[in-house]
Amino acid sequence: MAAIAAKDEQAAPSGRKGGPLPLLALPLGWMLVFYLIPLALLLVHAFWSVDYLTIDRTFTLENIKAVFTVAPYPAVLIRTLLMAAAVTLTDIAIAFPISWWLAKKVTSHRELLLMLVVFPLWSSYLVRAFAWKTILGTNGILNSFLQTTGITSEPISAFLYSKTGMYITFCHVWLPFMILPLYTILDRLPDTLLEASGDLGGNGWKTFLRVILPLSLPGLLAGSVSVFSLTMGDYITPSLIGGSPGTELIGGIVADQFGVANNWPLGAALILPILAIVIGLLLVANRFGALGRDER
Amino acid sequence: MSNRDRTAELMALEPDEATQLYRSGRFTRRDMAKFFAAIGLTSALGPTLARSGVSAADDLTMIIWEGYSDEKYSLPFEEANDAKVDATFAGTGDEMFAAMQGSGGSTYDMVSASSDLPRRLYDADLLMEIDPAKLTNYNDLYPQFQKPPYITFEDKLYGVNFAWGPTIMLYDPEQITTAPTSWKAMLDEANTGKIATWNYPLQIAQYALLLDPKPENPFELTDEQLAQVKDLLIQQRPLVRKYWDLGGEVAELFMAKEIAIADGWPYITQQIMAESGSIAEVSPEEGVTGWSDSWCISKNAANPELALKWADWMIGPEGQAGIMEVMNYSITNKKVIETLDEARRAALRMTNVEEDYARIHMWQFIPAYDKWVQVWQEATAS
Repeated sequence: MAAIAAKDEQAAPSGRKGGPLPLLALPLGWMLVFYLIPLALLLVHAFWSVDYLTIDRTFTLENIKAVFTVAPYPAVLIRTLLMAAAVTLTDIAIAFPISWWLAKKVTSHRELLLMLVVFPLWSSYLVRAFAWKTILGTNGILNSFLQTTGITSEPISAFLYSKTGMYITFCHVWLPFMILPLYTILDRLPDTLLEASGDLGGNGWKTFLRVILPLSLPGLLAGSVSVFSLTMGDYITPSLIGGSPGTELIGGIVADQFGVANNWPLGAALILPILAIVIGLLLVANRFGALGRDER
Repeated sequence: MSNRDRTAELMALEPDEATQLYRSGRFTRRDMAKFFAAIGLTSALGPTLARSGVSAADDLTMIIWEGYSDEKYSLPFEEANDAKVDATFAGTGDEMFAAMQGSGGSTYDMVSASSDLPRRLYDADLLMEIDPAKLTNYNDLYPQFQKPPYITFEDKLYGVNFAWGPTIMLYDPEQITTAPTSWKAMLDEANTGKIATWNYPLQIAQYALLLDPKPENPFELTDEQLAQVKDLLIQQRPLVRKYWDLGGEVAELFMAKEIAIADGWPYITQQIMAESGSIAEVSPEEGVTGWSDSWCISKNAANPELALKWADWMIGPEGQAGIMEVMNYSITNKKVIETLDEARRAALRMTNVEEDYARIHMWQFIPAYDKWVQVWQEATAS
């Protein structure tokens, strides 16, 4: 995606009179009215408190303090970060070879193969999470397979309603978000650079570390930001595939504060660390050109 | 007047005439919607109209416990009233409250509030007073369900009590061969990884029944008693397979043999039996908590008249028969109960309604509810 944006920038003659401002006014206005202002309204709640049924609008830092001191919030926050990190790293490990193969090795039917990568996104996210339920269940497809092949004698119940199950589901549902930016950037990587590296005596591993990896960093970061933040904020998979002790993620806690406990101030305060982390990641990604700045 | 005649009449109007009639009150919002539909503006104004609570058909929107809009009784109602029942299921009363308050009561015409909820809805100024004279079946209710304290505020009625029942213990006799008799089975290590319990802070009351000494009213707990229940819940944690959110989920968990024991409602038993699954009910010796459900109408309901009709329908013979058959719950209409034979009454826990009802610790409003939420989250989500 980063590369596509960069391409457009190059193609468009820059410095045209009038600039893009009139064109941008509508989307910017839309963002402001329907996204930024509501978000700000929501976030100020973090500094208020709830008094039975009404919101007490006196400034307080109690909610922020609670996020970091009151059980279960700190533990859940850490668990969420670890889960998001594990899913991101796994998706990188899976997506890199796939993207490389798609970009450099496939000679025919590449569009079809790319379509297959995107294909799962056509179905609802809920459907995919439910599908994993039938796969991971005690009498599910995975356990039946393991038992008929004799790998295990008893069904393993730890696949479903567990962190393992959530991890597997997350890795699968967010994978396209990692493959697509990586593919885009690898597709644009000139083969001549790889040949040059080989000519200069770099073996495969060295070429990967010194040439491919640095050049694919923007795609890698763009994908990572997507996968990481999607995992951080999700509450559907934890409720469908998790739901057992020790599987609650911060998204679920936030949803509960708004939809169940009716404690908007605490819910808003719980959003702050998530938002801070995601913004931090975006800044880092931006620093390395993942958001479309072309530094060549 | 039939629907089509009215539409034809509306079509003869000019838009500004219609607006005037609407302002003067001779033109209902429903008429307005029909009018716009007739002049072909529905698609253009659709989203705006929907948001302001006006819809093309006579839509009755409700946020309810699973099953309370079953086709068995909603279809005949829809046909009789040329209406459409549009229901959203909530997993907890808290969810109903949040949904009602979040929209200022304009998204849902009505809510199936259990005995703990109307107080909160009333305090948040979300409920419409109900005139019993408009309910044709009202006088057939047992006196205790006509004006019970949980739906009566300042001597005014704010709900129509139509069903009640206990939260019982369910188990799979294929997996647990000796019938458990106590809630302790939900904390028994022998059932490790085979337990599901309802993800609802109100369930603290159910586990409070295990305390020694047993609190007189499990809904009025001291801080010390709350802490003791928290210890029980923490002790239970490693044994739990799933904290369940919707009743359908429990049925699914039992059918897939993911669990062997859970707390649940008679409706869940009914669902599993309908699929010929293996299930049995126990009413534990420590006693049970339970609910008494009423139809409450939102103060800002788009269709208050229709909502009232639905409430009346649900305490009438057809609605009450449906609740018994589909939900497996106890009912409130005395006349209907008196037509049942002894066996049916016993099966539905209504041999002696006054006594059977009094035996259940009915959910009630909890003033320090945020404390309960905090304890529950800390014990289950850590």
